[in-house]
Amino acid sequence: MKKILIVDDEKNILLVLKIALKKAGYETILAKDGLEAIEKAREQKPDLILLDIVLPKLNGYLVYEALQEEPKTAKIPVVFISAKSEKEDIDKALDLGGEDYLTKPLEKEKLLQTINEILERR
Amino acid sequence: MFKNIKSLKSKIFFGYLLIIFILFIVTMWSIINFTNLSDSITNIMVENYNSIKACESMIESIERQDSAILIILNGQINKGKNTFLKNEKDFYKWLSRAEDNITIEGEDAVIKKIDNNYLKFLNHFDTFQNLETTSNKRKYYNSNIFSLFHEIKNKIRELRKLNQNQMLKAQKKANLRADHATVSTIIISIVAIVIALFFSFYLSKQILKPIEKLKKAVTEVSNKNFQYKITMRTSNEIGELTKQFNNMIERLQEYEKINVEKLVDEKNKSEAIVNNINNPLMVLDNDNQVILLNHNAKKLFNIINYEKNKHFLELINYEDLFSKIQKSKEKKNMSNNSVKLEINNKEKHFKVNTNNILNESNEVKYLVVTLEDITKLKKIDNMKSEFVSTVSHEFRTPLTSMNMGLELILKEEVGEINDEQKELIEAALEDTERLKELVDDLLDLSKIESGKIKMNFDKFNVKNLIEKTTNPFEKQLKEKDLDLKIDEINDNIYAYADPSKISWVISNLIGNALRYTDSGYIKISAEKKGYRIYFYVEDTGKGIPEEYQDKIFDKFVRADNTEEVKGTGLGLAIVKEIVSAHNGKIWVDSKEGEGSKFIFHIPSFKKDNNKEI
Repeated sequence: MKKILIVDDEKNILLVLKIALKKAGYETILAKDGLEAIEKAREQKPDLILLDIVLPKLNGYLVYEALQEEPKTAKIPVVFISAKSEKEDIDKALDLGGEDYLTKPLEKEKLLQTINEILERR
Repeated sequence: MFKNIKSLKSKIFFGYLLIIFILFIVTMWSIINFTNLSDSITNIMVENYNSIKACESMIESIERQDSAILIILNGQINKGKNTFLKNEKDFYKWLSRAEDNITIEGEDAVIKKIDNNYLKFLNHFDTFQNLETTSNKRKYYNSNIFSLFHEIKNKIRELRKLNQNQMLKAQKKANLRADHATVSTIIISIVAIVIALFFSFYLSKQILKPIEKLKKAVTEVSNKNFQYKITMRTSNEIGELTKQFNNMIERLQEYEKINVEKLVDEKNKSEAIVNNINNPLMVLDNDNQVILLNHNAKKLFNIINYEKNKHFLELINYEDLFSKIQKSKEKKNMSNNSVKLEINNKEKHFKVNTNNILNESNEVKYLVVTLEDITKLKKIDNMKSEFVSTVSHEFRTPLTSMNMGLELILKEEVGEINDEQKELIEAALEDTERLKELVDDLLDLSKIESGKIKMNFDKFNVKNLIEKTTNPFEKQLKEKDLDLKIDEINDNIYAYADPSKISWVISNLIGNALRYTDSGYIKISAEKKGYRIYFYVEDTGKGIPEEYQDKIFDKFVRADNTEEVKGTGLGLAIVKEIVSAHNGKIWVDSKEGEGSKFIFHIPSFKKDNNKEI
């Protein structure tokens, strides 16, 4: 079973995503801030990370950069999820090396399709 | 000299009198000269002619006496004696006349000599008479009398000669005098002419001087210099005229003063009004010279010493503002009449309002420019946009959990639900969907309004764009059984705009038409008019009541004939913003119950388009 780390400061999002992904057949790990995200990624080595950008303690971009520095976590694909829909934000995330960028509100079908595609490519 | 002569009439009369007087003097002078001349001629006649005549007569008398002696020698003693005595008398008569007429030097001596010799001649004649014989007598005559006779005759001739010479001298003198007379008459005449000329000049000047003054004064007054007054001390006809003229000017002055007071009053009033207008206000003439600035304008542009009639840019060094004003003067379409100015290192936004004041031939004479400080509004607007943006973002996260949660329940992934539950969840999900759209539209609108969305201008083919845009609607049209008509559109019209935004506008208009049309058709057309491309989206829907036709482009405005709320209520507001961002305009022609026709225009493609916006 593939492991997906979900990082978001909104507990409702975490809840909904956890259930949706569980129903789709994934194991989920949850983190509610940047530091926790890095910690959990190191410990549990997920297959994919859904990373919010606006986060307490450490924002999404910095989390991503921190993961890249660690060889253990550097190869984990990251999909950014954010309410920000401006082109600059999307460009920044993709330029950093994000696999994809999904804007909130997320659509279940689209989310599952994206995750599926990325994992199959690996 | 003429100062004492008051009236003009008497001045002219005096002038004539003077000239007549001069003429009289010249005439008198000539007469005197002629008289002198004739006197000197008379003198010659009287003095010398008489002497000469006396000489002639004496010669005649003495010659007769000589003949009388010869007659006596011939024996006719008595006859000879009588003749002799008679001529002796004559001789003395003429001699005494000659003596009376002694005028020349030497004449006196000659006459005395003649007198002495004649006495001798008479004594000889007495001796001659007393001689007895004729031969003695003849001898005596030949030896004594004859030579004396010749001597006397010669003396008389000498006297005559003297007088003749004197006569010649007198004639010369007379000639000289005549010459003098001519010269002096000429001189006097010239002097007289000069004097006459001088006086006539002086007189005419004297007469014309006040007239010149008057003329100058009239010119001054006609140039509205009512302060002008003529100072003239003459009391003649012109003096009278001057007095009346000054009276007239005084009246005019009073009249003008009243008018000026009124005008100044009005001017002060308008200035007070203008100065109390809170917005900076300026008035320009057709050459862009600033002819009026109110208090606030001076304050805004930091103008301390305002000089009238300076060029706008000389006084107010803001070229952006100037070009805005120029555009408005040329009545160029201004979708954006706000201007950003940096004043005292602070960024300020102003709305530029202009009002043309035209002259009789409909040309711009004055331009009234008022500036409205919209910095605060702009700030509020920005804050609003930011607020909308933030709020929209904040909506998105909860929307995700709502949407996804509802979906999970609806698809029964977390357990079975009954039909009623399903219905409720479906309704909730539908509204979540609407909320999502609303949030998207709000974000789009706030982005466009705050200028965050850039228009990517490009050349595109109008026909192609319309066809591409209408394609996705075919399914929906079929479902509603509506016709989509695309009018014949020229293949070769190109617009210069952001193609994706314009496509969005057309989609939105078609979407609206679909929403409110139940039967009939939707028609799309486009054409080029001048440098603009006009687009038309027409439907046979329920139409828009007239009172709503202007408002429907505002946010969240729906005509009250729409029973069911469809869409977000922001579509047309976004459409309007996009068209405006292209320097275009959008409006609607509609009749309730018959349908609506949305019309908008954007720039067409020109060769120099790249510079236009």
